[in-house]
Amino acid sequence: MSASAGDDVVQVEDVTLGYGDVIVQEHLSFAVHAREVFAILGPSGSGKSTLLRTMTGLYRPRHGRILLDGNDIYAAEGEQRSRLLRQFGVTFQSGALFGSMTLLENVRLPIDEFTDLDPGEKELVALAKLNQVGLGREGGKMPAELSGGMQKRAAIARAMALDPRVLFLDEPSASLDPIASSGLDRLVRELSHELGITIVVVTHELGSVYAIADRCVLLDREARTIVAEGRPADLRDHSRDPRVRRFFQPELEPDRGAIAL
Amino acid sequence: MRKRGAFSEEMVADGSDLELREEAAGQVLVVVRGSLDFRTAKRIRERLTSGLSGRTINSLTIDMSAVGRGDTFGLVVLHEMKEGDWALGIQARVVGLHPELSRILAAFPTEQGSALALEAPRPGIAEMAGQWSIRLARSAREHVLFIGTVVQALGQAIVRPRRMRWREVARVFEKAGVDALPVLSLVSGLFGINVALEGAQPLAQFGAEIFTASIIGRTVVREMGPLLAAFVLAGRSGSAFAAELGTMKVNDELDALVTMGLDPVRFLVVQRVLASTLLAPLLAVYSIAVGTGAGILIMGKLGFSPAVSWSVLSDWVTLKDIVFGISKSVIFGVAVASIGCERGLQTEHGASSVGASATRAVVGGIVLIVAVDAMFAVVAFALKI
Repeated sequence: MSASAGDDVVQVEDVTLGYGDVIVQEHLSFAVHAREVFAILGPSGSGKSTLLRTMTGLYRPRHGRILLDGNDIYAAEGEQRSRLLRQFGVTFQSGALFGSMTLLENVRLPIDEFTDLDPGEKELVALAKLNQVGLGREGGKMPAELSGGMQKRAAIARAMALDPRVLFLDEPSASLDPIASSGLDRLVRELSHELGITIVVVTHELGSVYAIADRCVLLDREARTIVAEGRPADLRDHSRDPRVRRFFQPELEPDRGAIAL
Repeated sequence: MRKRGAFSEEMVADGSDLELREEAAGQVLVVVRGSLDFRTAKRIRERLTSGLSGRTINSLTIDMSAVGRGDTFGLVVLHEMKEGDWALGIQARVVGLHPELSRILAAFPTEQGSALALEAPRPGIAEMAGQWSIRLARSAREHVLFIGTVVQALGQAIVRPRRMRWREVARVFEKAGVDALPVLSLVSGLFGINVALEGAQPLAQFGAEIFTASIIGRTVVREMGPLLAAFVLAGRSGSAFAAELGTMKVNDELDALVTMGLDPVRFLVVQRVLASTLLAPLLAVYSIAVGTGAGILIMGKLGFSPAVSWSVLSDWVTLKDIVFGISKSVIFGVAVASIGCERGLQTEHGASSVGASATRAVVGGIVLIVAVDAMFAVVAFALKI
């Protein structure tokens, strides 16, 4: 189900990322379509998380533009910028829940700040968000009382609090056991298929990529740019590019790390 | 003028409208068109409330099949109508909802509040006083037990000094001792000046200004020198101990020690308690020296040479006073370090509890210092020391 250009929600246009004098990635261009799960893949150190932070308005790119529905998020200022960024929901690797608040308070925080509902309705909305991630009964608990997987779910509920256009997930299954990790994959799929949320996920877990992603881009550390774009399974089965094969089928491709027998 | 049948139809907000129709007596159909989201929700509800109020309604049906766009903030209105927690008190039937929107609607809790623990009833004053006393007694008991454990570990360290981490003791000595000298100089010096200035005026009325020196000696040596040193120790180091150990607790480092067969008290606490027990009297001596020095300096400004001030001061301050002040400060050192470490080990989860532990360490330390000081004062008074 390839989407037309009119369905592009987020567009990355010729973006260059870097710290100090170091260029991490350059000439990055791709578009995320409405209602798809889009994965940003790459080995450690290839700049995936930096790209995600650039896409969500945290790091200004060295060059290029990030567009949300055609609006450049870094060109906007003040309230207009804040309104654009509010259409993004972001979760971080660590979950980044506020440790001094209960789950319900964590989810309620953006709702309190940015909506003018009655207090009771704010509570209802926050509970609905927790229900959507399967934590409806845990609202009174503190983050530290929860398992890693539950914390990730709660972080997703908070990221969804304002009904974002796009949900960004940074390594959602990092440091989770396989069961919690596949539970989270299932949740991501549900949010995408049942609620129609557009999701951008950064990951290097291949299993979860095949399970959730409609399309992906692969960043390469040496080439410092995108070396492949498409459906994960297609890239795995049909790509001739050794860099792509090395990422998708590490067991088949002898690389520098392997011992030649 | 409303007609029976379609009794109102109006544009609510950009791109959405609302139609209310009375199908039969008391049976109302509401057709929502366009979008039901955060922009339109409030007005749609207001329209419904005003359109339906004053009518006898037996059943309310909401037709959502013409709604193309919606979000959680619009659907919260629909949820309230469906549940009947709305001003009208009728449970509405919702039809024709888009599957994605009905997923959002389904996520709202049906029995409100069940998901959260209900607030406990507020206890009365007597009950609160009782609970507070029990907590206080329990905490005192825990502190005594903890000091017992520390003393035991300290004993083992003396029996087997090779197993003690002396380098850690030296580190704490530097951090809590040497690094504390500037601030201790400041507060002790200022205190010496204060006593001289405050004491000189009333004594001058009796022509006894010279005895300001004796007041400086008595207060600084017996009370303020040891107290200021202990307060600085509590503020700088007691809190640091709590934060260090608390952070380790939060990061599971203490559990890691235990699984390696190491006792956190022996491995981390003993060094800190030992270092501050040795440090407190040294800091007290330093504070006394700076305080009397500053006082004598002010006496000079009042016209008394340092030699005269010193001879008066030494007449009034005996070895007994010095021993009294210093021995107090040893106990202050134990109290500050042990409460700091204990609060650190009691840290619960999360970064905020580390901050809470540091605060509790400082407050507990200061309370303990003053309590111990009061006991010394009572004993000294009774024994006429």
